[in-house]
Amino acid sequence: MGWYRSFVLSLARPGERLALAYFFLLLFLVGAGLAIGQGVANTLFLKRFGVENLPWIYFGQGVGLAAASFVYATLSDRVLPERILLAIVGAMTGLLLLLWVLGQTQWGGWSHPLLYLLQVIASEILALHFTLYIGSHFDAEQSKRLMPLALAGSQLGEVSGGLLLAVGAPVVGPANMMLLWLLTGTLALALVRAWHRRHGATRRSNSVRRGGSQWTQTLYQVRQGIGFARKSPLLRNSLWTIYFTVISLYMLSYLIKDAFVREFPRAEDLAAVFGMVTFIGGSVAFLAQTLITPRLIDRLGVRTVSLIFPLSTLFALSMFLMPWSLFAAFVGTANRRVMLPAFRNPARSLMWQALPDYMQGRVRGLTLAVVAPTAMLTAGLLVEVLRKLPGGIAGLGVAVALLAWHFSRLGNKAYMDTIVNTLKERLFVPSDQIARMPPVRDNRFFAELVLGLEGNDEVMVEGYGRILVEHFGPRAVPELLRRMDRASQPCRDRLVHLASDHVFEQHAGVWLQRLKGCDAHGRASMLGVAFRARWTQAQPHVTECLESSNPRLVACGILGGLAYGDSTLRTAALERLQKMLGSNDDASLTAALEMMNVIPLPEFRPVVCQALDKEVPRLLIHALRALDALGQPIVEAASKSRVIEIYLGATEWPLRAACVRAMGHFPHPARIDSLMLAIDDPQLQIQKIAADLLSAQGASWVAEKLLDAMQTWMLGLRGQAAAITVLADMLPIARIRGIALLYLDTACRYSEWFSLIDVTTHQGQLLSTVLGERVNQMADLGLRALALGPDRPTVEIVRAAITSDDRRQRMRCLDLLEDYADTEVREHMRRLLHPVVGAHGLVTVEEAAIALARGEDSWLARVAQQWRTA
Amino acid sequence: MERFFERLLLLKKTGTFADVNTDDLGVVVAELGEEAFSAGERVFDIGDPSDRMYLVETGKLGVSLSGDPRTTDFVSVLGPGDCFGEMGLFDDEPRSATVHVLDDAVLLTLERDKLKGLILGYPQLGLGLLRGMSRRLRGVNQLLTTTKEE
Repeated sequence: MGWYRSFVLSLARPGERLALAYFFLLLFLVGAGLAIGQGVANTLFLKRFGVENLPWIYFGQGVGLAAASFVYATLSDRVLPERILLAIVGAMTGLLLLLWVLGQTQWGGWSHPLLYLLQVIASEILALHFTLYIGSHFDAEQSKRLMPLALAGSQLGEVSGGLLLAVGAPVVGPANMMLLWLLTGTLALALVRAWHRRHGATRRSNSVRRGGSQWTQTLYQVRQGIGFARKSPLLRNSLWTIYFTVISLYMLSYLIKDAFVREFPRAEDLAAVFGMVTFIGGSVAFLAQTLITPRLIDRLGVRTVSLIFPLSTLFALSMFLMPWSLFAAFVGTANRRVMLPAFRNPARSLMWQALPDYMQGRVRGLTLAVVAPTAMLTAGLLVEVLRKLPGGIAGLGVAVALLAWHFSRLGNKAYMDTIVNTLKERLFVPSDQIARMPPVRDNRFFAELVLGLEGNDEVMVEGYGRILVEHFGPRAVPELLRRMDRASQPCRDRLVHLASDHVFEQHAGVWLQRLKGCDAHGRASMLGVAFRARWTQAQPHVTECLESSNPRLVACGILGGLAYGDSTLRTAALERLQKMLGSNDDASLTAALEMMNVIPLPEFRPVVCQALDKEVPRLLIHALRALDALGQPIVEAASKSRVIEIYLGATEWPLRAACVRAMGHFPHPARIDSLMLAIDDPQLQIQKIAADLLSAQGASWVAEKLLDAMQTWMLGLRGQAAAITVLADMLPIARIRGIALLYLDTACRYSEWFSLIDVTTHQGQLLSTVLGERVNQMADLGLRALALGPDRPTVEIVRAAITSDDRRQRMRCLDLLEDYADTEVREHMRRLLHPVVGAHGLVTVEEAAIALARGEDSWLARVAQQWRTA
Repeated sequence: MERFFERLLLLKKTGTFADVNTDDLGVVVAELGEEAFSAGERVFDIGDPSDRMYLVETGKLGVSLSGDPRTTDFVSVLGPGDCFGEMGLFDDEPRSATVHVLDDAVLLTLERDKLKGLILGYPQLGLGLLRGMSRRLRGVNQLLTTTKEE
């Protein structure tokens, strides 16, 4: 389990690891109990009533699941998730006890159908509820990351439960194995109660509904789901696929159970077989999910993988048309136990990601409450009608499985249409977000992107190129190269940059052929890529570049001369570089300095420092970047003061950013002082560079210095916001909470004073405007700091509510805060949402204005002074 | 009150700058120019290049869509605190109306290049401007919907 532990440590934040361990253990217990329960319930029912009564159970399942789903949907938005969990597990355990006691009496046989239904409905509702319950403990992003780790507990529980049943049933009998199921349920109940007694209630989401008929709202959501399915071919076909898949699986299940009952007449043996198939199937599915499925999806694409399960179901059902029914039963079991969790579930989840989140939730509800129960009723009816007909169930099962396969194919097509339809929106999504999208390695998607690349709008061409490269990597390169032939020079250059990370020496021929159509700038870009990768075919171009009159090409030649390791070329390159660095021509000097960003040469450092005296922004950017690339401390007083001078005078933010990176090489204490200057930069990117460099210092005195600068308003608002993120890496969470409280306290105080100001005068209006802004700004800084702790979701809701004009949202937020554990913070947040005048002692606006005018916040002090002079 | 703060408050009350924080608005005030006009003059005519926006500090102005300089048919009358010509800061379209000075007026001006420099230097200012423009667009949409319903 070492890999699991390191995986958990890499994904979970410190405060989340204990919760993750809790979920793992809880799901293990529930998973083990349900696995035992499934085998026991099947054995007892089949032995008492025979397989011929199974269709009636299917009817009961359909009705029971639909009813339970409606009740669940009605309660899930108004009752705390842990209370629902306690109710489900408690009801399940209580009923189990009752049924076990009933089983000891003369009417014991009648408990078996109820046990069967209890097990099926409880497992479906618990599977749905655990997603909500686990999600309520983490923020949305973490929830998505940690959910599979928590659910691994259920899978391990299932495998263990299967093994326990296989070993225990022949010894103690299947009926007594119920006690083990009862035990796991009781332990799960105790665990949930103990956890919430220690850690308090979970947060309610901000969507807690009040008033109105809950039944009506649930029905409305189901109607919405049907509406979405009408509009979206992907959903429509997916729902048909689910419908036919459920029918075919229930028909298959009937055939499997029939074969097992005939083959294993003793209840103990039948229970052991159910236990063994659960154990083996669960283990294989777990391995397949971990080792095979992600690779298959990556290699073949979601569309192909989504067809594996319909085909395996078809195969399993057709096996029942052959004479070897036991073998067919094992194949069918493998289909249900391995193929379903390993291939169908992950593929469907990925496909549904193409839909908006709100749609996914509604459709999951629709599936559970309407589609699956209807399919169960249909399956029951078909099995009941056909069960006396030899080969009837298998024959019709094959036909139904074919329909499932057909709708899977239609769903696949619709999936691609959905992806392609949203393509235009994605064209303008930033690169880092594109990288986070699941890869779609699909020929039709590829063809659509290539078609988009052929367009005439070069901004769009670049967008299509970006997505093509992100999803298809090296396969995109020939297409980008082909498009370059008729692109303008700037577009050509951008396509070169897009392709540069995915181009290999195998592309060298076609890559170098494109040089003919390029201007000097384009040639330099293309040859730069080839030289850096040291392609043999490109080496002859080095001399040609070194002899060129174009500075960029010469710089590129120098890069090639230094990259290939040929001593003659290296000497020529160094001579040329010396000449360029000594040149009075700014273009030559800029090109040489740019080259030194790629290959830093310490012997030329003095020339780089000299270049700082120039006034050309582009040249200065490359000189500063070259200093950064060299990585040596900048100790010369003249260079240090010049970097700061350039920073203070620069209007172009890339130049200021280059200065800040160079400041990172100043010695202490100049480094910290200059970075603290830069952390207050109005440009966010520069703030981030400065913040990252400050975080990297890690020393406690840096933290204290930042705290001091925040308290004395040496840092402006932007600087303070950036400093909070830096301090989060340096200080324990309790100190960050203290900082947050200081800001929240200031915000509360200002909020009270704000309500006192008379706005009939200009001075009053001015003070009111500025103080009103400060209330929000201080609250925002405080909440920003708090959001770095474990309560991020609640804090984010409060943050949104404080700036909202919607009174209802503020009231809901106050309601949400009832469950907030930190009373001091809670009180501050409550006062911001609902200010109380007089809580801070000052009751007159004059006293408030004096306090503000004497404060550290110079802008507010100036405004307060204005008010006082009125 | 200091002139600086008077102008800041004036700017803060305009739809365009209402969502910009006063800390950032201070740098805009520093870039404002001042132009005085006498009654009867025109600030600009239809078709003139749009190179600056105006904010009425004092005086009264009439906005006309007619090409006739003697017209008295004004689509709106502007007074202290009103802002005009701001769309010209964001697109290169020529002026779409003529602005007549009805009473002696002092106008504060902000040139397009200066605003561009400020936005590049202070991105938060650009976001505030976008919020203001977006709010106004919503207002126009609302008005259109109401008119359509009527």
